[in-house]
Amino acid sequence: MSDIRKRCVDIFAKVMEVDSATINVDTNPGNLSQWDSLSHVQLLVGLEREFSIEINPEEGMDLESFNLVYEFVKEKLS
Amino acid sequence: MEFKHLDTLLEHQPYELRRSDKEPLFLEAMKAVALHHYTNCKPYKTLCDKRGFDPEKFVRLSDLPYLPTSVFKDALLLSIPEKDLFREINSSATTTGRPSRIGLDKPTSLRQSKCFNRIVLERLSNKRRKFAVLDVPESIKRTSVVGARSSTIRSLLFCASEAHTCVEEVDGKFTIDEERLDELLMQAEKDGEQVVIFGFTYILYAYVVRPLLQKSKTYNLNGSKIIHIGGWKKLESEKVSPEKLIVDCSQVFGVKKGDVVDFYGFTEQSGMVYPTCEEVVRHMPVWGDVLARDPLTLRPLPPGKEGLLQFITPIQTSYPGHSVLTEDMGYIVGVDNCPCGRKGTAFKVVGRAKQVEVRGCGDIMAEKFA
Repeated sequence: MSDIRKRCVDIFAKVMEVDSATINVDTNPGNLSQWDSLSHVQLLVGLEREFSIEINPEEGMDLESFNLVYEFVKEKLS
Repeated sequence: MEFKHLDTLLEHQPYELRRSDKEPLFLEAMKAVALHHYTNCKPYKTLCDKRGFDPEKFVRLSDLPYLPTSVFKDALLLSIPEKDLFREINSSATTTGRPSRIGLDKPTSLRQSKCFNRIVLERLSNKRRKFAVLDVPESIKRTSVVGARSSTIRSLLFCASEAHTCVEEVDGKFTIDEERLDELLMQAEKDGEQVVIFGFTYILYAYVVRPLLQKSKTYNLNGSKIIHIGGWKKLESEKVSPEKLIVDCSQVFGVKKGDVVDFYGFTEQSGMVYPTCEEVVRHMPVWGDVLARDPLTLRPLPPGKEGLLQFITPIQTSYPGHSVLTEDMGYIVGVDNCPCGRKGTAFKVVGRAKQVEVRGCGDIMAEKFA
């Protein structure tokens, strides 16, 4: 697992209060009940701090799966 | 299910189309959605048939049958198979004591969120800010059951960087945590940070703005936004007009008058939200329209004439909430001509129809204050 991917998984697991083994590319608000509007904000804040990036609300709106989040972070860091 | 014209409407910015450009597209989107509800929701078909309405042939929006909000209190109306039901939303039990029941499938839920978020961002700017929420901590905590008030607050948090609540509950009564609020606002002032202060209208004014004015306490939060939502009845009885609320908020928080924003919306058309613009009127996005109807004859009224507001939008496809006659009175201000620059129909909401008892989220919240 790449370093970025592992760090994303760790933030997800911490914010959603789930085991990191349950996070996969298909994880989304529809199949992870802990992923609600509030945890989504906490997730964005966690990602911003971890990777020293900025995520505006419009960008945040589109991050609707773990895979989209991971690809977004990779893109921001490239 | 594909809704080609609806998808095209949603590609536009909320207020960029003039009526002449929007109307043909909007009418086609409404025809497709009306036909979908007619085909898939038996009670809606019965209503249309009784009125002799053919969803494939109507040419004017005013011909579209409307459902009064009370209809949603009697039954869960669906235009989808029950197995596709993703979430049921219940309104706060208002006029009748019975909550509205709204059934969402995933596409409708997603579409509503996106529409709501885009309107909010257009008004607040695409920037995440610290939120000072005039409600109890439980309102933003993760819980298995989310009430209407909490749901309203949480729907706005997508543009928050942090959220802090400034109300505490003591012996079953709510009080403003003045120290906490002052600390937050002083810090924002010191850092030159633009924040959002969010609260229900009466709470914002009666428990924050008025006491601060009485103490001659002011802040300089230039660029911050003051968002409030909920009924005006309690403030009207205290002779506080919308204009006075804006002036007083502007004075207390040191923000521009245009940065005091009143949000209006209702559960039967979640996803549609109507913030006041800098000119203190509300605008229909390209994916919606509004009519005022005479309360007695129910005929459509010309601009400037007060009537019951009928809201029309194709964004709900899981239930027939595409044409709803509310119990709210208002009038059309104009079309494509607001000095703020937003295109589309501009309107004002003036209050509830006289025979209606007002008990929305904000009123219920107000009763809990000590």
